[in-house]
Amino acid sequence: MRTLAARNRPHSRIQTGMTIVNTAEIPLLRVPLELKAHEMARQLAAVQSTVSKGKRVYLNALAVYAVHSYLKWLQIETDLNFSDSFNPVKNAISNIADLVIPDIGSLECRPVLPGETAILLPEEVIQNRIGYVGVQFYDRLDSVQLLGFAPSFDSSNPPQQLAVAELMPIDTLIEQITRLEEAISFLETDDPVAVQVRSQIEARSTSNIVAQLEWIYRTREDYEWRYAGGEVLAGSAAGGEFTRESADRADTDLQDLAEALLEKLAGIWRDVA
Amino acid sequence: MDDLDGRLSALISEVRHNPARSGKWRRATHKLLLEIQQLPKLKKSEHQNYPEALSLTFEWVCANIDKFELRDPSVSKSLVNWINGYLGWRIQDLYSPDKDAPMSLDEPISVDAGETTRLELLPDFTLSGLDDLIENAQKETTQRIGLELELYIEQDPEGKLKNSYPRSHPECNCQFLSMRRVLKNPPDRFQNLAEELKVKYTTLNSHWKKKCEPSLQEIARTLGYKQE
Repeated sequence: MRTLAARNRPHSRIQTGMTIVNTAEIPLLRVPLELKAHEMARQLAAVQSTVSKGKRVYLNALAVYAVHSYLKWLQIETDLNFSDSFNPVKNAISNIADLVIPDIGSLECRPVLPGETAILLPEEVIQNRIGYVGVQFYDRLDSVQLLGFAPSFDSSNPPQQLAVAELMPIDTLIEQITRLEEAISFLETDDPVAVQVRSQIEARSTSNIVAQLEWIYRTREDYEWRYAGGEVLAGSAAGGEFTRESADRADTDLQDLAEALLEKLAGIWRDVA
Repeated sequence: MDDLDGRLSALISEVRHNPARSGKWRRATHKLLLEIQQLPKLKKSEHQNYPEALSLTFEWVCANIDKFELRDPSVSKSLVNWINGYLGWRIQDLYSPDKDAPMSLDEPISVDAGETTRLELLPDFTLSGLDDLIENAQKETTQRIGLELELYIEQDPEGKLKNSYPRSHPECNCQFLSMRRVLKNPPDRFQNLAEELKVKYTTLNSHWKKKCEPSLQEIARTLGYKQE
C-alpha cells in the first residue's frame, strides 16, 4: 500500500528529473491588479529609503496581492495584514514577499520581471515557507500572470535561485494547500492516531509539523518515514540526514506513531491527488 | 458541439460534481478560469480600475458556476453572456462610485478645475514609469520610516545596536549586520558575513533573527512609527 502511495506522489516525479515542466507550453492564468493593490503598494514604497528599495517593495506587494486575489477566487482565505510583506518596517529590513494562509503557513510570492529566467531567493525567505510562487510581470502593471509553483526545500541546503523553467504548474500549489488543509483537519478528528499525535505535539504549531511531515512524504523514501517522522514528532528539525545514531535516539513508540500517521496522511493525500 | 464547448461543459460539470473548496473543485475551477480568460468576447472597459471589475467577476464566477444555466446551444456563447451580465454591472459600478466612499475618483476635483477628475490625474501604471511614481510618492511623504531607520543605524546614538552581539563576538554586532543587510544594496549574504567575521552561520543567523530584527522594529516604534 505504501509503495502505491510513493508511486502516486506527484512532486516526486519532478525531483527525480523524469518530467520537465515547460511552463511556456501551458497557458498561464492572468490576475488583474486593481487600483487598491497599487495604492497599498505605493504606500509601502513611499516610506522606504531609496527609489530602488521602494521599487522592490512595490513589486513584491503586487506579487503578493495577485496571489491573494487568485486564492480568494478559489475560496482559500489569506491574510495580508498578518503578512510581513505588508509591514513597512519588515520591508525596510528584508526582501520579503510572503502571504499568510491562516492555519496553513506562509507562501512566498516572487516577482519575475520581463526577460528574467530565474527567481531570486533571498536567505530571509527560505525558512517557514510552504512554497514559492513565480509571478510574471510585464511593462503594463494592470495584470500579472502566475508562472508556477515550487514546494518548500530542505532548509539546510537551499538554492539561491529557482529557474522559471523548473517551476511546476500552478495547480500543484492548490494540491499542496489542499494536502496541508486535509492533514490539519485529520489531526482535529477523533481518530486514535490523531488523538495520540495531538497529545504528543501539545502546544507546538500543528501547521508547522504538518508542513514538515508533508516534506518527508514528498522527498523521502517510505522506509525513512518512521525515523524522519519520529524526529518531527519528538520536536527536532526534519532537515539533514537521518543517521542510524539519530534514529536510535528517537523513541520507538514515537516512530510507530509517526509511521501510523504518515500512512494515514499518505492515504488522504493520495485521494487529493 | 465544438472542442471549446466540449471542454467547457466537461469542466463545468466537474466543478459542480465536487464539493466547493475540495482539491478537485479547486483544480477544475482553476482550469475553467483559464478557459474563461481566453474567451474573446468578455466585456472590456477603458476605465483604469477595470482590473477590479474583472477580479470581482472571476470571484463571482467561481462562487456561482453551479447556478449557470445553458440559454444557447453554444456553451461558450451562453457562458460569455452569463459572465458579461455580471461584469457589465461591475463596470457600471466603476462609473457610479460608492456614496460612502470618502473621496471619489470620478468627481471633478473642484469647480475651478472644470472636468478634471482624480481618475485622470492618476498615473498610468507601467514598470518603466515606476521609478518616477515611487520617487514622487517618497518626496510627498514626510515621515519615511525606511529612511529614518537607516539614519538611526548609521548613528546608533545610544549604542543599542553596537552593543548587541553574540557572546565573545563583538564584531558581529547589530549595527555592523544592519549596515551590511539593510544599508548595503544588494545586501551581503549571511553565509559570507559569517565567513568574514569567523562566526558560525547559525550563531550569526539566530542573532540577527532573535536580537537585531526585534531591536530594529522596536527602534522603528520609538521613532514614531505605529504598527497596526
